[in-house]
Amino acid sequence: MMTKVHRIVGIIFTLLGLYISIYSFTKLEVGTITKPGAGFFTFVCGTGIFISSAIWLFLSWRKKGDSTPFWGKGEWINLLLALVITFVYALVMEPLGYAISTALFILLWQIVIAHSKPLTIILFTVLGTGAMYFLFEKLLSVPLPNGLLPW
Amino acid sequence: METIQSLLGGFAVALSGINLLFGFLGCLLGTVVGVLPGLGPAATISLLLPVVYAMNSPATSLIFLAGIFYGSMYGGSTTSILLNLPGEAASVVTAIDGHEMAKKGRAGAALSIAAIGSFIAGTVGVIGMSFIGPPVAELALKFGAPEYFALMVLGLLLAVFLTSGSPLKGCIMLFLGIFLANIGIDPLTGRERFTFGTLELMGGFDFVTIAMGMFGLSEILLTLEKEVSSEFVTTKIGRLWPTAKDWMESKWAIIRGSIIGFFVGVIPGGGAVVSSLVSYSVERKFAKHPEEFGKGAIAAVAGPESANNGASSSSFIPLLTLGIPCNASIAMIYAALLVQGITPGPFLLNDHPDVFWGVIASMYIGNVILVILNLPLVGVWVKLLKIPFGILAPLIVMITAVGCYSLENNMFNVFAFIGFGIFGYIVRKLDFEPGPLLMAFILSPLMENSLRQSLMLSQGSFSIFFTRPISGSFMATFFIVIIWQFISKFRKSRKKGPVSFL
Repeated sequence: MMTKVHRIVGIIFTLLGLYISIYSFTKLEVGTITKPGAGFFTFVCGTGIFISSAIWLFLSWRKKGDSTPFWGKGEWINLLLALVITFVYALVMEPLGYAISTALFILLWQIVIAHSKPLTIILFTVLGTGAMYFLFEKLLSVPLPNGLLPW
Repeated sequence: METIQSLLGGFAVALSGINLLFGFLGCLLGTVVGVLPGLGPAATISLLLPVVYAMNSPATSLIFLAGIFYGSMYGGSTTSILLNLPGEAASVVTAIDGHEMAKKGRAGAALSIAAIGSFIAGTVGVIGMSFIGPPVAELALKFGAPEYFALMVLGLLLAVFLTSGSPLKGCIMLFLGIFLANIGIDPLTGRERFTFGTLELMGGFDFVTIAMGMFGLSEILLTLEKEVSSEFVTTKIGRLWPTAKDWMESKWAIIRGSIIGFFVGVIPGGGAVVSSLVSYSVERKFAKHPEEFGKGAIAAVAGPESANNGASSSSFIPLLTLGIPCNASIAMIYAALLVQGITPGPFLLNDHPDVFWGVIASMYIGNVILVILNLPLVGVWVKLLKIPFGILAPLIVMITAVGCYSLENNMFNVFAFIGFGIFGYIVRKLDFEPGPLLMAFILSPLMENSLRQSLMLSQGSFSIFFTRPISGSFMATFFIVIIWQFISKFRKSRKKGPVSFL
């Protein structure tokens, strides 16, 4: 399973390297050795990614199969939940504002992933949101999105 | 004499109220992240970059971040010895014999020898830095574009070979780092590169976004997979002061570890992890009873712990004198300085002596603070493990997400942070080391400029890199390293069968 993932990633990297090289060569100006253009460095990078990935892919193809699964039993569940909650947090941060979105984020994380006790959830949601607001908005003078609330 | 005077000036900077406070906070935070598994120094520094950007003084921010970096080396030994749970990678070796000592009721001796060794090596590293730094910076003033390019190429190559188990994976990360740094408007020609018409991509990706994603978020995701035990394991610490026999067995290990750490730390990619591994194998060779290694040998704790602290101090030398970051954590410190308008390199010593000498002096003070923090308060640090990861994780994600937003007050950076977090998670799970990507990202603009300038100077001839003495030496070392890698792989394959480059 792990080998399969390695191969998939190897193919993606190889194609990416190829794409970067072709794009740099055709759309950007590679220039000459004496006067390298905007695409010179990206062309070199693309070629580097392509060659390294192609060799890696070739060697991993020859390697014996590794049966270790990419994820152990149920390992991906918390991971997926964490990503979904973070993504939703990013989506609603501007329209809802910092305070509401952060409180929701902590609340969801505590309930769905950490399975915390109700008192911990309430305390952490209020204190965490407030402490971060104080740190960024007051101490560091970072403007946070207001959204629905006036502050 | 001039060095001593400058150092005294540095102490005046480091001992000023705000710098002393941030130096202490850095050491404290470093100890905490060293103790807590699943949060390394690189992740913590990335997490705090937005906070540091808001600071007005470059000296204060550098003192703060440096404290986190070398403080984490101290803290890492505590949980390695008591719980067999290395808080960060450089303490993995310490756990082998340190925990065996703890099981025999000698945790106190292991902890104290680790702290004392760390203090000695850290101090040796800082003394070396005080005296070696200025001449290196002076030498670097003679560097032109070809020398810089050759040095950066050599540095990145060493980082690839030393930080990652697989040179190929390291190369992929390296080229990806350079590519990511090239996205945006080309500063020389004004042409857009890989922006696809997106306004947010015109300025390119922000280093903080990548660092936070690749180290901060991906580390949280990786830790979420594992069941991190927050169960407090009671281990009797025992007598804290080492016996005369312990001293006799450790003194040379500490000295050797300090020297190894200092030299390995200077090499790009070397750093704390490699130095602790080298020290462990050296101590095993020097040991009168190597069979005791793995069963609680105190030299196996003293050597590696000294080495990782020595390395953490000396890794500042290339940053402050040449402007070359040796590892991912130092690359983040480099970024923090850049944002504050300071370019680390040979001019730093003359242009900003307060920053250069201030951070060196703060390290002397920091080493004393860390011994005081780590030995008597050892019980407090172990209790930190009681904090459930369920509370720490959302806090970290929240700080990083808000930190990314605060960079330009837009959501693009937050989504990019999530994207890099997922990417970092996948590649780290496949044993790719993200360090070279970050180092390449930060060095790429300087590399590109140096290459273009060199080629213009030589009218397109690459011989410029080989005919000038300094750049020629760097390039010769570059090729020697590559040939040596192939020869050693070939030798290994003849001895043990095929050796993987994967």
